[in-house]
Amino acid sequence: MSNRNDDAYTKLGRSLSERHSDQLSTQLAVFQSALINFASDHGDEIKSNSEFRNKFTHICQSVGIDPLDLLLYSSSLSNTKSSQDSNYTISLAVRIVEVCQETRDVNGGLIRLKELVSIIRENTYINIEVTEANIEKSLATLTTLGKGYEILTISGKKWLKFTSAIGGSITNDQKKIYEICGFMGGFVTYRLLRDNYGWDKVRCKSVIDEMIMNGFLWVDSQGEKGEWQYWEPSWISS
Amino acid sequence: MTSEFTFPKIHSFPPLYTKQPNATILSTQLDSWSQIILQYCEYFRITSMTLNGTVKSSQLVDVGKSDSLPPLFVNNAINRSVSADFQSAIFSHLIHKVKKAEYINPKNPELGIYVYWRSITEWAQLLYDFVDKTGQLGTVLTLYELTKAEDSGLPESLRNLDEELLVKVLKDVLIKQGRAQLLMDDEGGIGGVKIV
Repeated sequence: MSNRNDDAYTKLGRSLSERHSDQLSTQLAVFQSALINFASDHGDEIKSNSEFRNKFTHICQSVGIDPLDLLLYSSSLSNTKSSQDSNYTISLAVRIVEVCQETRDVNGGLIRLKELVSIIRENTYINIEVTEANIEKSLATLTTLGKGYEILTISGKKWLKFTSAIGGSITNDQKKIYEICGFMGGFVTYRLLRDNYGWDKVRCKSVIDEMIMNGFLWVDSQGEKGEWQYWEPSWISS
Repeated sequence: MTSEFTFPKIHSFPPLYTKQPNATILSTQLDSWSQIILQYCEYFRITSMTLNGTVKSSQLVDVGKSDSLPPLFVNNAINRSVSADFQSAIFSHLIHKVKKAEYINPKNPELGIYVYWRSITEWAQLLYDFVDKTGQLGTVLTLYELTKAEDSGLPESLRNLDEELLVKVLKDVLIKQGRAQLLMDDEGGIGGVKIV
């Protein structure tokens, strides 16, 4: 009997707190969307008045909206004015750089364009239209800052390669390795390189070792018949 | 319920089972393993493990003795496994870098490790809240009453907690904070606990 009472209390308690948190998240959502409207109505004022802008950014942060999202959103609404268009391109470029930095340790600085688009879409609170074409356009604005970001086409798929100040661009040999990885479902071996391109052992070793050093390939010593395989890490998120 | 657990995708990435030569990648790899271990232990409520990655104690009765758990360091689907050396590197990372595990006895690491998907401070708070909410502050309780008693309002989160860990939580947190006292019995064992 007492057990049943306990159960009833627990249930009641749970439903009360669920209702409470539902209400809170509705309120938060309402507030957030009001904020978004406000930003698009008063965009110019926010831009010109620095004190106002400061306060506004504080509010955004405390309700969990990234001001950069707002800029992206409001500028994506109307693409007629060229200034808004450039706002969109620039804020998207900032987002791209952020994602590239965050994923660098995992992918060594090479990311599929498709994956980049889906990460950007997932990580923004507001629904923002982003396409691969938008990304390419934004990247063009970054070239003035140096040749750190570059689009490559490997086996018909587009990739974004980014390096810090040094590092240069991807070599032809490295590109060939990615081609094999594409065919083999993610990995390459010395034997595959020899059979397909006629590379000798020294060439295989120097290219692969450099790619390992730069974080473009992971080593797997447990391949079939003890053959070492070298995997490209974008497999994990693809 | 044991079959519902799914490893994250990286657990099927063949090179995850080979210690990476590139130091930056290695640290990413060790972080990934740490996350996998914590998710695995939390799901199966495993509070301590042997150094081979098998269960030493779990709050779920059938997990403790069964072989039905998916193995942690072996992936039969892709025919890969983590070597003993690399396993200890992973545990060492979990202990010293991530700080979410500890040797059960630092002088004798062979005894295995505690895995802290819930920290000992959080365990202590759960214990304290239970004793407080049931109006038993200042009452002498047995270890049994703290983890096994029926019909006492004992929350599921504390049920079947490994006794060794329970004693550690009491000694390392609650006693140090002056919120608990241990009462010894004639044979030098723990006869009761008073939480105040």
